[in-house]
Amino acid sequence: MNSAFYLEEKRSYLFCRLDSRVKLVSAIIYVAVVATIRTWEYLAACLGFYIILLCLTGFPILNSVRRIFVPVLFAGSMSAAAAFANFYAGQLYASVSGAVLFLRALCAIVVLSSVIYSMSFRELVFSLKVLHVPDVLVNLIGFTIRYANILTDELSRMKKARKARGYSKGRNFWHTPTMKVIGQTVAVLFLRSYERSERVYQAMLSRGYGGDIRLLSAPARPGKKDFAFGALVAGVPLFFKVAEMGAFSWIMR
Amino acid sequence: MDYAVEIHNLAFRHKDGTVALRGVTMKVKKGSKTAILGHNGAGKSTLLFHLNGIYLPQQGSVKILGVEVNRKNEKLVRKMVGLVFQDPDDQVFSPTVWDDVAFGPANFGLPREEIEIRVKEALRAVGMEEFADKMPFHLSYGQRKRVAIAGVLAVKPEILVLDEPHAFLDPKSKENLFDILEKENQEGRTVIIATHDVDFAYEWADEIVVMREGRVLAQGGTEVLCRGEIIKGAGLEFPKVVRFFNRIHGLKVEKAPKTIDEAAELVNKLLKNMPQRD
Ligand SMILES: Nc1ncnc2c1ncn2[C@@H]1O[C@H](COP(=O)(O)OP(=O)(O)OP(=O)(O)O)[C@@H](O)[C@H]1O
Ligand SMILES: [Mg+2]
Repeated sequence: MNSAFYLEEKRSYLFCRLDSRVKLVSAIIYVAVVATIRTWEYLAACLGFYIILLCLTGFPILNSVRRIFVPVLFAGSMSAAAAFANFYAGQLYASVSGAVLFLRALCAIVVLSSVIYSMSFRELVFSLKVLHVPDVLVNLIGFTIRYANILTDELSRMKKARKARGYSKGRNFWHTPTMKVIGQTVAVLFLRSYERSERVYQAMLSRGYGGDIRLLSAPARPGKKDFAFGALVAGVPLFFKVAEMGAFSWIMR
Repeated sequence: MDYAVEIHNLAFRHKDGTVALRGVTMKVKKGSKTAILGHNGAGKSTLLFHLNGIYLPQQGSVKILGVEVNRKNEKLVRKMVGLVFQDPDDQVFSPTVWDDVAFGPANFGLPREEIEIRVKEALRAVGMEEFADKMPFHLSYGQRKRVAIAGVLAVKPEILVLDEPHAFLDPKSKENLFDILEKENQEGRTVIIATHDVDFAYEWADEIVVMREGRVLAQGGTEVLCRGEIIKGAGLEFPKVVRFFNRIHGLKVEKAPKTIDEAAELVNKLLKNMPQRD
């Protein structure tokens, strides 16, 4: 089984040990502030700063690049599209606004994915709960993750079963038998996952699940290190935002 | 007589139109050990889903310890009846083994200390103590099955229902399961299992229910498994011990042995009583 969303391996590096609530709150502030910055240099600085922070706290950056590949690709094409839509407004302006959009998206992806990947399922649910996110929403997130796991799990089983009976992929897109198998796989995949998730839900019901979330273990209170980290993550984009608004221009003068 | 389960004329049709149960009537005595046998697709799992209100009767009725199962009291019924699913992948979903076993007790609102104790006990019972911090997905199928069983033991329900608990267990785990079920029963719990293992049913159970095509073909003591017409009708096979004794012509014993050990003892006795000739 390759459950994509459970990172329960022993994680010894600092970034993972930092308090998950602080990480989540500071990441949300970071993303919110970055979304309002309009200067691409400032955005690049925010991103660079966060990446340096990740390095310093031992986050395995190189291993994680693969994980954000798809969202980054998506963000890239979206901002490119936006840039071309603005093309007539002036060439230079278009490329800059495209870069700004892309950098904002990149910041959000890097920050949120690093935070979420550093948390276990339990920590995530706990932090959301502590932040007074309603139970319905926490459940929704929890079920989404479980469903995604069921989906990837079913897919890997089906792949194995296909391989065991001598199936191999065709060379190209136009290879009809391959396309047929892929089409069937997707259809059956959703059906199987739907049925399995229904049974998983039934199994939860039969052990008394009633929709409310019970926290079994509370992590320790955040310490100085955690707050320092949070202040840095939230503070640096705020600093650039304030700079962008011209608050420091009188010092410069 | 007190009954743990009373089912009357229960019928059930699945969403896709498959009729799985066609009028099941049966009773399970309180404190008994009941084994339900039947061919693939006979309706065993569907029947067990009715015992804790996962499926509600479409026709007929189900009573658990005198309480009628319906939408209003399904929660109460779930507390009384613990159900281990046939496929552990349907049941085990938490990020760690510990969390999964703690899921039931937490839902029923037990205090943290009590949960800790119960999880520990349940994991010890199935021999999975050292796996508490592991991800269930990285365990073998049989190990996951044991975690699923622990998850229900930890709730300590009055009635314990297991759907094919033997599937995928190695011989030692099977033996271990025998002891677990025996112990749960001795603590006063009613234990119901669905199984294809006639030998286990013959040795362990005191009540046998044989199903065929959504109906109860026969219910009674273990002697049901010695009756040829029922075994044949349900597509089962005789327990090994019974098969052995059926083959010995002209042998009359007042009580058929249940295990290989008992059978050996009986044969030894017969040999000893045989007039010595030289
Ligand atoms: N979710 C479902 N949807 C539709 N039909 C179902 C569903 N589950 C079971 N069935 C059908 O209902 C009938 C009874 O199935 P059930 O799973 O109760 O049998 P079983 O006795 O447990 O079999 P096995 O020994 O293989 O576990 C079968 O014909 C089966 O195909
Ligand atoms: Mg079944």
